[in-house]
Amino acid sequence: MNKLLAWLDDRTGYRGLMHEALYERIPGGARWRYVWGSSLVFCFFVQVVTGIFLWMAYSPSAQTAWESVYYIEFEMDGGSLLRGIHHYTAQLMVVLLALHLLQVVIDGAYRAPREINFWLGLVLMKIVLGLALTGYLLPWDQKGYWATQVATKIAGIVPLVGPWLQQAIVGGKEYGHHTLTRFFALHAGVLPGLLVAVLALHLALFRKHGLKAKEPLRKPETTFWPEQVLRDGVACLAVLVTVVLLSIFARAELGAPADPADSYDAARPEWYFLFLFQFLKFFHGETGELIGAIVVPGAVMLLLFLMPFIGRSQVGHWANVLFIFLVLGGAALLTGMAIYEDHHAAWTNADAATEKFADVRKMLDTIEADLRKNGGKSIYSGKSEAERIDIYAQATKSSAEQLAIDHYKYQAYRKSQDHIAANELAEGNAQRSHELAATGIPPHGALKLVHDDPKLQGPRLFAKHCASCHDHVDEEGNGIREPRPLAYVPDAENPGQQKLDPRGAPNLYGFATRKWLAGLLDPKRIAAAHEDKEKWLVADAPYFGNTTHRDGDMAGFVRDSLSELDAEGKATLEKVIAALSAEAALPAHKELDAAAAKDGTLEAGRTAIAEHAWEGGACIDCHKFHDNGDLGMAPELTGYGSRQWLIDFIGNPAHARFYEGDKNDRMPAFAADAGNPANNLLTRHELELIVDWLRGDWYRPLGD
Amino acid sequence: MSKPSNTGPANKPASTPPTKPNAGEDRRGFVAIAAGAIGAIVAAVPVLAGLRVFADPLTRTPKKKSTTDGALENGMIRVATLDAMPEIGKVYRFPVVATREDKWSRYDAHPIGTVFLRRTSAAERPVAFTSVCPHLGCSVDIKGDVYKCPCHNSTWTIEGERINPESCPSPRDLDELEVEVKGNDVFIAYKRFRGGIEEQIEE
Ligand code: FES
Repeated sequence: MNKLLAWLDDRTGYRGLMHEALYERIPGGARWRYVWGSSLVFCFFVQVVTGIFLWMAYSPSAQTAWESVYYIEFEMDGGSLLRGIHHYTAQLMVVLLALHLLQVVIDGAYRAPREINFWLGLVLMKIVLGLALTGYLLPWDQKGYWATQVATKIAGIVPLVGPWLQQAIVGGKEYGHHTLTRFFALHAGVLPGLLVAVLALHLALFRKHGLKAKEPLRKPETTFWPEQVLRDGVACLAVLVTVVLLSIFARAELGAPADPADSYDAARPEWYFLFLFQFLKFFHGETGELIGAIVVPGAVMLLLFLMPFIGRSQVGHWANVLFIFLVLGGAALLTGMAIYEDHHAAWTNADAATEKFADVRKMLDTIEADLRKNGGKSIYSGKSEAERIDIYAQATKSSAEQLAIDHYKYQAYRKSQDHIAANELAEGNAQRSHELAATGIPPHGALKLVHDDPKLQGPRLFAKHCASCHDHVDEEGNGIREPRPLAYVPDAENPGQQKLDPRGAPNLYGFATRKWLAGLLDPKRIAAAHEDKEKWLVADAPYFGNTTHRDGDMAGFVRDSLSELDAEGKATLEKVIAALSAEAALPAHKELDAAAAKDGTLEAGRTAIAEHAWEGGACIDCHKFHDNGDLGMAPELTGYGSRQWLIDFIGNPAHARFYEGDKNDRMPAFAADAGNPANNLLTRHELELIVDWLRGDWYRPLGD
Repeated sequence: MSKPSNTGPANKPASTPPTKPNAGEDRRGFVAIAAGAIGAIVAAVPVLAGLRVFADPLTRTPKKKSTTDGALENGMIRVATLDAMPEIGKVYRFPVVATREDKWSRYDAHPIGTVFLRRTSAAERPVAFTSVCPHLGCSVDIKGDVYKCPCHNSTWTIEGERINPESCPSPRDLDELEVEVKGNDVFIAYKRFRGGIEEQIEE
């Protein structure tokens, strides 16, 4: 063995090399403060190792990037841990970089003869930040996709070469396959290669000049091995334990797949770039952005590069130390501000906030109500926000200044609430996309799963196409309720005049469920109207609220014929409700319907719909129900609330099967032209998504 | 070995010689072992974490197979109906259609192979042979009452037995597949076997 090693040494001189590597002199003894550099090298080692293994499972293209990362994270054994280590080590590396830089500046280790090595260190810092930036995009999830857009847009505002630079980085005008292949090549090839080269120089120069010992020397000189190696090792172990624990207890995130069509309100850069994001908020316009995004950061970098010259004198050194503290402190402060602005609503007690903003909300409500009531004649009409506050303050004899301040705070609070809600939505979407991906991803990619999912798309389509009249809110008031814009229409009674056109069609939450139908057939609820015209909420009138049906035959029938039912009548009504709801075949009622079919309730209910004579007549006097009754008077009850019934109804509510002709109150036909779909407001696919969502008909994983 | 440069203003030559080896021999030995051990651990963990993922294909238990419409719980695939093979004793050929999964991707149902089915009597379940030749994997054909592989001319009887076991290139009889009948539907457990060897081993 010894002979073999001797031979090896003779041919390679490895002993000398090892000796040189391990017996670096450390004047003043080993110290904890020297561990930063080594732990950074260790981080890089971890990133190379974990990165190469991730590489073996990662596939960079717009249809496979998210999918392969999903597979690593949720399917492969140990994948989550591996990805977690890579994810968190990257973040820790940024922290360690800052500490290393701070220490070098404080110790004056940038001074002659180490200037060049200091510069190499700054270059390394830029490379590491570049790695962080490029790595963030690779999972191709909503978060990375939208956050990176900001970065590449910034590249685009660089004077002269900006647009060219941007296109070169992105691989075209828009994000796509080549954005990923380019970012991946940068992330796994170019940048690590550069980093290795610069790091080699950095270490070589470090060896050449020796360690910059901290004065005064506390102990006799020692060598790198083993005293300092032990300390470095402990630091690396601390790094490793931290990232492993983080990976296990706070899994690296994977958002919903990147969707260019779905702008992402929760978009933020990774936390270590938050300070830049916050800093940019202070700059507006093209020049402003140029200054904020390029000139100022460039100037800071320049000053860092000049440190060795500035620091020649003791005063200069102190100036440098002050500067680095200002920069890092400023970055920390900006990061804190960004986090506060986004999240402070979560830290504020809801009751306290209600109390604190009571005056402001009262003011806003008053102004809004006045605008609703008086329209163009309102004293607030056509005024700016500040003017409105002044007018209101004068009218109520309160302090305009205080109101303005509170108003500002209230807006910030609302913004934070919005951000929190956007985060929650993003998290929900992410989880749903994982659920869907677990069923297997079609060759088109996971985005297709997302786009074909009623649970994800239904609310969006409903908000866009239906919510200007309909609500979709549960008993607690959660759901979709858009502020209804005021609409004025020509007043038939007073020609030439406009009159308010109150909107407010049924709340479709739980449509065709037994509960919903029971409410519709409840004399008290069917025609509940929006009495308070200043604030229509459909919740006050969940059925025929502000439609002409409020005064229609059905409402009259329910009021007159169903208000004083005896016990038997009530039982019959219940059966009718069960039978009618069963027509919809809702997934949520699957068991209820089956039970009702078994015990004869459905049969009895169907017979009652066809035959039972209520005070005001039978159902089939107006409605068609299977073989009984005729079309043309009121909506058909055959298949009421079923998938096809809803598709047909929304497609054309004025069809003879529903509210024929002018019986239909203002509801548009969304897909009346079957022959020429281009003429329709909704595509067939969109219509199906809305209907499936309304019916709660979507994929549920087992045990859900 | 190059000498560390001591020209830096703050990096004065060390005033004391390096620690004498014999002075703190014990301590130094302990420190060396600790440093070596910790170094080994921190270097090993990321490598092991990576190898674990790398070994995923070796430790992966396949997910419950086949999501094809009409497939049985145990993954058997519906290939035909009894009505589609009215003649007892006649060989019929049917495609095997199934979904395929590749890592994260799920491909819609498409043909993955063909099978020969023959009913021996009205009561018994049909006999199924895969069309993959046990020799080197060509697609076997049926010519009258004889199965024939076009590649190296192996031939089998209608029962799937080699006609000339001594001279037949195929090392074994045709590979039979498990069949199940539910009502009118015929299901098979589609499998692939290794070619060119006597023993029938699933791939
Ligand atoms: S492959 Fe069929 S005989 Fe060779």
